Amino acid sequence: MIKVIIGTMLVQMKQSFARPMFRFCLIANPILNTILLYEMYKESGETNYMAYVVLGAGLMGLWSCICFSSAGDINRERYSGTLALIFAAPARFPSIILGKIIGNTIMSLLTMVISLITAKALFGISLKLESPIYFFVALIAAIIAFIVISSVIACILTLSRKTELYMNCIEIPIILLCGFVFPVSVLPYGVRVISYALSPTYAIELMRMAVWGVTDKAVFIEKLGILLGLTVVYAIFSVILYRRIDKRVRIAATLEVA
Amino acid sequence: MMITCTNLKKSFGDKQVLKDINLSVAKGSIVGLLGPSGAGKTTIIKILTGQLSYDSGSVRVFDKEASKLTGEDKKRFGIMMDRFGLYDRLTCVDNLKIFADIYGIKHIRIKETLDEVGLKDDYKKLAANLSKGMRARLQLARVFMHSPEIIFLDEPTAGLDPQSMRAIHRIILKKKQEGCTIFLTTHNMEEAHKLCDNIFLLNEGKIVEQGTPEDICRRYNVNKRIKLHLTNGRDLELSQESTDTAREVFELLNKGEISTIHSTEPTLETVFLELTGKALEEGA
Repeated sequence: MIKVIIGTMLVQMKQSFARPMFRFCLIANPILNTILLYEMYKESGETNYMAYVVLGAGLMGLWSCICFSSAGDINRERYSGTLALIFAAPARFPSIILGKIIGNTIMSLLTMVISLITAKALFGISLKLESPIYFFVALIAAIIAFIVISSVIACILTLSRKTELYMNCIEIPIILLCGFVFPVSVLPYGVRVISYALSPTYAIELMRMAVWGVTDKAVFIEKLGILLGLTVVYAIFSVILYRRIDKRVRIAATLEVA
Repeated sequence: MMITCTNLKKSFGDKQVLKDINLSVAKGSIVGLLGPSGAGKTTIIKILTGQLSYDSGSVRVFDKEASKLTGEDKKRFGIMMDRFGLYDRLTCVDNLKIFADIYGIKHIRIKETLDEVGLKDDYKKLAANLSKGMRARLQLARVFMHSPEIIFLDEPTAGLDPQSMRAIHRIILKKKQEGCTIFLTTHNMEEAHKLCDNIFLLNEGKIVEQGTPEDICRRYNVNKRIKLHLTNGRDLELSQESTDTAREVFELLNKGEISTIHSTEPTLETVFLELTGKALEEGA
């Protein structure tokens, strides 16, 4: 299983990078978002805005990569006729999809680096990490959270032939709901309820906390606990969902275009 | 038997797409499923390979229920679906690499397989830059890279030029010689005649006829006539059942007046037309 995941992951990285849309999300997207967010924040009076600019732009790029790769890949595989082949392959379908998602997510982390380089190169400013170890922990937790949430999305999209429509629908709302570029506290209360049910919200908060410096360990650990808890819930949900979808797909034959 | 279907039924919603399918495939043979588009050919392949469930009946592959095939069982067959099933932005090698990892095959097999299908000089070409014939060969390479016992081919030569078609036929026949069992679908009766040991004619989810191509054609040879083309350019049609025919042919042969002799048994196409009232390529 590990060999399948690693093998699929490596080939997926090559495949994704070969796509112009992925390269745009990976390279151009964080550059443009960094410039845009910097211009928005520089006169805002916010003192610690670099975390919103660099992390926000990086994470927006990362999320776009996920939406247009991990999610979009299902549709591309459906149209190229490979989705049915991997479904009928001896390795388990979720292992293959997981390999693809991990490959895309790891490569998408480049958006953070590009965002950092853009901020330094264009505006001469850098992101100072006050708590680097906490940041590393937050980053790992964020990667796992993004991989799991991508698995849930990929599972759902296996079922439908309208994947493209759905992936376009989820990109911006998640950026807004999870507070990629502003604190979730500015959102109306009713909306915040949804935000706090989404694991990326905590991943981003943890990363920002680590950038600004963790003053209260207990709060960091509490948020990390919630993030990991939600990730486990999502993972369980994705397993249950996969079992149901596997059954549905075998009855209704939705793995191909027609 | 490598494959057995007994009273197989499958519906999508209210529409019954397979109606009491009974078929069996012997080890080492090439079996063809012939029918127009929408007859249910692909659905049968999907059921046999565990991609689709079925409503009732029994489907056994390697003497196991198709719905209970394990990963190890799936390594024993290869599938080529009617859509190409290739990653266009990857090279030929990378296209096979992804499946080599999935099937647990050593990467050394990739180049060996590409050589076998005549893509020796195209390892690093992107799949998108291959011609249709080359894409079909690359897909075949993926299908038998892991040396499967059964190969399922869904319209393997659809849309190919005659030369590419012949290349694919050569590969299929070579695999048969190596002991592979091949189950293919086609709406090309010439292909079925050339490749298949046994064929099943499928129409609207029902098998309407089965047997060897020759047997089926003979079975529907109701005219029982022979056609002679004479050296003087004249055509002559004689009844096979008349006692005078043999004498007449013998006389013409003696005089050296016969240019060609043909029997008039129907083609698979005409048999299908007679059985269903529609052509095999209709809507395909």
